[in-house]
Amino acid sequence: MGFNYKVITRRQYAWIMLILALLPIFLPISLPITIGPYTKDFYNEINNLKKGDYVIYWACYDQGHHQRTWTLFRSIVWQMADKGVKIVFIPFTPTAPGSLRELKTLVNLEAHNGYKYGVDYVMLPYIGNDDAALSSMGKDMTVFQKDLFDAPLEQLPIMDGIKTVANVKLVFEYPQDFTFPEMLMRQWPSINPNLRVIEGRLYSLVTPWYGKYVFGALDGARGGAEYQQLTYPGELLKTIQSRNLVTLWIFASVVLANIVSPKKPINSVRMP
Amino acid sequence: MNEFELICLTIGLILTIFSFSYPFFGVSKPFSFAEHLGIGGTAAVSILTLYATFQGFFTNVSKGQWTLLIPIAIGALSFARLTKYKWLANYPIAIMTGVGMGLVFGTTITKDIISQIQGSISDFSKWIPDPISSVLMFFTAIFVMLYFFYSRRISEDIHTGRAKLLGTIARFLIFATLGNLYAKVLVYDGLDYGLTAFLVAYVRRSVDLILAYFGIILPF
Repeated sequence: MGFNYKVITRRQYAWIMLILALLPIFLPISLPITIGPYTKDFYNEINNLKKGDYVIYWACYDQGHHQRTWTLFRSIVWQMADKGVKIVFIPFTPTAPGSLRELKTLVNLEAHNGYKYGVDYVMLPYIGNDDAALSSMGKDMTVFQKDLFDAPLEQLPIMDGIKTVANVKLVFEYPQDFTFPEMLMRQWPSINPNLRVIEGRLYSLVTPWYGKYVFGALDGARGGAEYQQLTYPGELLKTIQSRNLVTLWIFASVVLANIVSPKKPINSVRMP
Repeated sequence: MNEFELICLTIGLILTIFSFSYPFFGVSKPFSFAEHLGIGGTAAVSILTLYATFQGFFTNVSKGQWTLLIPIAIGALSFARLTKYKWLANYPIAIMTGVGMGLVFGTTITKDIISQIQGSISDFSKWIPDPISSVLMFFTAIFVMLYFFYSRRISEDIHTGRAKLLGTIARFLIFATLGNLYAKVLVYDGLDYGLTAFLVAYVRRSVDLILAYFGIILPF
């Protein structure tokens, strides 16, 4: 038992692990990833949208989540844009407006498929007061008055087609904790009983409503990686590929060690 | 990005890689260099922060906020440990310990004990997430708690007496739980967040920024 230095030294083992971890991050190594049912649902919900449908991108996350997961948000927004839908970005935490401004640059919908701000997508400002804000914006979108960049909503053609949440085909949410989905389910289904939501962070946050109001979920980093495998590759896919490769090496080395290492009969080990 | 930012980014990347070499290669010259630099920098920042705090303190006291003198006096007693009146340093420690325990104790009872009991019974009664899992989770909680009773009168039967089967079942449930926890720590905490997320966020992004400065965009 223990590390067998005749076969491989600890330093060599560490180098192999490091190289295997780095490979998928810099090179496109496509290890097979099984796509889970919730990810398929998530993908199909966006895929079933039609040109001109309205989608709300409900950003209820903080800067930390944005920094870690912006490539996932890019993949989601790009898939929505590929369907030709109108995207309304609504920040719901104090730091989300800053994240959305940065996301606008990172996603660059203008370069991706010629989207125009104010016509095909819009970013609205942050309104505090949680449930009250959610209820008022759900009943009347003019509560915003201006967009995130202080342009009056009357000047933005996209807002002509969305007056309440009843005009919305799909809501994408990425909550930073469980209180946000609960808030959403308390307020918006009463305005739009046919509400359809897709969850971007964890399936466990929306389990009670799955199948009723929630019709797709990306479960953690793995779910995000599965989604990026289906759509546009990003950092989550690289992370999971790297993890899978290192885990395979660990399993393989455990199996090899049991084959290669000399075995001692159990009876030969003397107990103290 | 300008040249100064590029240089800082490159130095930062190199130091990060040096620091991260520890889990793989142990203590080495590059790691020691980065570690000493980090500790020295942290100490310098702490001193500057302390200086800024005291500046703010004197400003506020001069504006009439005399109550700030109380926590300053209590904190200053800590330095009595360097004098012959060492016993004075016990007061700030006692106050901090008491306040900390008071803050933690109340929330711990609610969060870690009562809500866990409520959750276990509630999930079992409603068969969440499904009947088999809820029964398994409920009885695992009961058996494992019984296994860890350290009372001779109660636990003697469980470990060596008539209820030995219960103890054996509890032991295997603990093995399964620890195995799951170990796998979770290895895969999620160790690999996902510890290794691969670090390499993506700190190494790959930094390399992308450095190459972008020279007009090189990696295809993948």
